[in-house]
This record gives sequence, structure tokens and C-alpha cells, in this order.
Amino acid sequence: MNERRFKANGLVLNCLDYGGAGKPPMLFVHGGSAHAHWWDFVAPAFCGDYHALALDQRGHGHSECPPEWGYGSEHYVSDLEQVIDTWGLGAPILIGHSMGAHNVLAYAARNRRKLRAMVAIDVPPDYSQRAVTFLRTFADKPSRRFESLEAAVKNFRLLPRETLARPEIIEHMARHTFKQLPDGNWTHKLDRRTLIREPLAVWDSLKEIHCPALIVKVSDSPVLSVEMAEKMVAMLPHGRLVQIPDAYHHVMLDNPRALIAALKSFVAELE
Amino acid sequence: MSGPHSHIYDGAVRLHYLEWNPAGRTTVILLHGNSANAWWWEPVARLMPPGLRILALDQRGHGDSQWVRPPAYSPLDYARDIAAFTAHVARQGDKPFVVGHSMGGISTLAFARDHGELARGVAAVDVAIKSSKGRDRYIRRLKALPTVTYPDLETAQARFRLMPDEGAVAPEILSAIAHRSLARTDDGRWTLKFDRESFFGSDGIDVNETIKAISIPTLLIRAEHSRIMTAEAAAAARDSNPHVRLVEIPAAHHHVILEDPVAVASTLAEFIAQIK
Repeated sequence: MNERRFKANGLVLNCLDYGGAGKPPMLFVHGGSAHAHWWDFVAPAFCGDYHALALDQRGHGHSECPPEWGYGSEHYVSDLEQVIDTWGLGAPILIGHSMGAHNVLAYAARNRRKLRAMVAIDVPPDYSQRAVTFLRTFADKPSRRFESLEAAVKNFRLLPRETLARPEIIEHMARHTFKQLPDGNWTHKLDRRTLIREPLAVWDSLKEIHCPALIVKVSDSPVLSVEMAEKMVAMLPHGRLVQIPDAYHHVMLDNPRALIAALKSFVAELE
Repeated sequence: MSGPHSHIYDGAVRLHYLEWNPAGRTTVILLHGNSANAWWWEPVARLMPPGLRILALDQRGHGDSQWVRPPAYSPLDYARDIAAFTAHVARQGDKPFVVGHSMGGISTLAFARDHGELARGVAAVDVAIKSSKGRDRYIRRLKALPTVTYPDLETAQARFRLMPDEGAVAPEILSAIAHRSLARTDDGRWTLKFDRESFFGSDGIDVNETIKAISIPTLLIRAEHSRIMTAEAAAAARDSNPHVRLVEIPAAHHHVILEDPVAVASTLAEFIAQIK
């Protein structure tokens, strides 16, 4: 798979290019503490009709970190704006998961013409302050170090950790999650300051999202309730709801086939 | 988000304070309770949202701030310090929030009543709202306690206790506070770092009446199991003034800022976000 680099807000951001160049762009946006490879079992299914790309957001994967803390919704959305403004591919379909979905919602609310359609997977429009503060308690703790990549991979856990994914899928994520330090040890690529969040409230902006919007509720995840998902869809001018069975929060790992099918039927109707 | 940094405000009384996140757009001033110091707010301060600049003040007679002679430690004395300090640290277009715990909360309420134009809003965390003979007796007993010293730092740290000594405070938080609360005496022993004259002998003002007279947004935070701020007095105070809101933190005791910093930080962050 190819990698592309984009410059946004002075940072070099990494983007996986799954193929389909020349076709309409589709950009996948991972969640907090994840990275672009989260989409490795979903994005390739779209290369026939779309140019499928997955971004490493700032501080994640192989993208650069800002020198000072800069991990609010404003920062991530500004990165998306600059990447999409300069990439020369036109208005994309944006597909986000978790924090990435929240960023997609915030992007969609203020970039009407630079968006073909959007998908928000398993995220409520407003984070609770309690959840944000709780996440923050992890920010100051040092990243764990491991003597070998194998030890790191063995200790890899999703956040939240519940999953139905096949072990080889989890191992694939793990192998892309760690980096080797100059002293030979292995540690998480993530900038831990990303755990300090500053999410915008997007409830009131849902009505500003005029493109087709798909809200994905995942059967076994408590992150987004059915009631909340229905309220979101009611607020969206062109909202639709789909429920994916047999999956926890990390639905693209737990049940990629069902997610692909749901996304395909959504994009098929865009024609 | 590193820090904190230490600073001195050389006003009428020389005051030491801690600052986290100087680049924050909105300033929040944190005030500790009696016989405590600025470090008591550290667990909360480090969890506050990145958009906030956090200042924790050592109040007169406490921490590394000046002891006042003749002793002047009424809530109104503290409130005057808070007003001068708030005016000193406020930046163009940034009216601070002021938050106090326990005795610091009472001073904050007095500040809100007398100098409300200096702050966007205030919060008082687990404050005694109604005085009683029993409470006054308790405070006078504190004032009469002899100053205890310990032969070495380890013994002093091991003997460190909260007043009241209750609640599930994480051991690492307690030992960090103990470490910041001790000082050497002239004869080389160790003792708590605050002016014993600061035990005022009562709450000093009628807190209930003070709350009624406030005209800026005010948040009262009550710990569910507090015996210092009763549920009835807190509810009555809320009902006495439309500017006042009340939030109760479940399963917590008087030292809620140490016991459940996640709950306190998120409650304060929500209050600030709603007003600013």
C-alpha cells in the first residue's frame, strides 16, 4: 500500500492510499489512540469505485505532533480542512470512527461544499465532561515500554478493550501501533497529550450538515445509544441510521463485512 | 501541560501561587481551605481543560505566603487578598473564575459579594453554610491545639492526617500533600507549614446571608457525605438566590478535591463552559 504525505498547520500528516486514484475520494478518519491501519479490513473494499484513503491524525500513527498541546476538535478539523483543500482530489465522502467521527461531524457542520457525504460511527455528538476528565488522568502517565516488539504486541489492548475481532486482526493492529526507541525498547507511537481532549459541542450544528449523513450504531457498544442515534438522525437534514450487529466499539475490526455492506448500501444511493 | 510554575505576588501581603498552563484563554483561581495550601488543588488542576489557565494561591499565613502580624485572618481579610490577587492576574478581556474549598470557599463567597465585578463566576466547594455552637466549639478547639513538631521528615509525613480524617483519598495524593505541607522549625524539627494564628475561632461571617447577597453566577459543590456542608443548608442556600446552582458529588466527603478530583474537575469545567 502507498503512503502519501500532506502538510497541514505546519505538520506533516501521513495518509494511507489503498488505491482507486482518479475515482471520487473517500477519506477514513480513525478514533482517538488509534491510527490509519484501523481501516485496513474495510477501506480496500471500496477501491473499485472510489479512491480510498485513511489519514493518520496529528499525534497518531506516522503523523507529526505539534510542539505545544494542540489536540482539540478545532485542531483536528483544521487539519482535515487543510488536507482536503490542498489535496486536489475534490470533495470526499468522509467516514469517521469515534473521536474521528466527532471530528467529521464538526468538519461537516462548517464545510458544506467540500463534502460529498459523511458517516459517523459510534460517537455521540457531545462528550460528557466526566469522560474527557477521566481520559485526562491517563495523559500524565508514561507510555509503557517493552523489550521487544513481540512483548509489545502481546500486551496490546484496544481502548475500550472489548472486542470480537479475530486474533490475527488484533495482532495486525498491534504491529502497526508500536515504534522502536533509540535505546532499543518499544513503545506506543501515540503522543500521550492526545489524551487531553477539547471537544467542541456539535449537537446544535447537526442541523447545519446538509449532505447525506449516515449514523452508525454498533450493537454491543455503550458509547452511542439507539435513542441518541435516533435523535441525531432526526436533527440531520439528510440523516440515516444503520445498526451493525455482532460488534463492540471497534466495529471495523469486530465485524468488517457488516460495516462494508452498510457503507456500500449508503454510498450506492448517492449516485 | 506541564507545570506548575511558582510565582510571587508582592501585594499588601506577599503571596505565593502556582500556575498551570499559562497559555490558557480563561483564568481560574483556586483557593485552599484552612491549614492547607495551594498544592491541595494539584490533583484537580492537572485535570482541568487545556483552554484554562489555572492559578492556585497560597493564602496569607499558609504555604509559602506571608504570615500576618498582628494576626488578621477573617474571611474578609482573605477576600481582600483574593480581590487584589484577581485584579493583579486578570488579563485583558479575561475575567477570572474563582473557586474555593472549605474556608477558602467561604472567603470566595465573601469575595463574590464584595468584589463580584472582578470575577465571571465563583464556586464554593463543601463550605459550612450554617454555623452552630458545636461548630464554633470545634474551631475554637483547633485554635487551642498545641503546635506539634516531629524529629524528622519521615515521622512528620507518616503522622500527616486530614481534618476531618475521612474519605477515600488515594495514598499517593495524600503523601504528595504531606510532602508539600511540612517545614523545618528553627530548632531543626518538622511541623505543619501554616500560621496557627490563622485559626480564627469561628467561620467569621454569616455564610447564608453572604450567599443571598451575591449577584454573579455561583456554584455550590457539596460532597454527599459531608458533615460540614449539610444537604438541607446547601439546598436552602441554592433556593435563596437565583444566581446559585448546587451540584452534589456522590460518595465523597469533605476533602472531595483530594478524594474525587475527576468529579470536581469535570463539575468545574462544565460550570465554566456554560458561563464563558
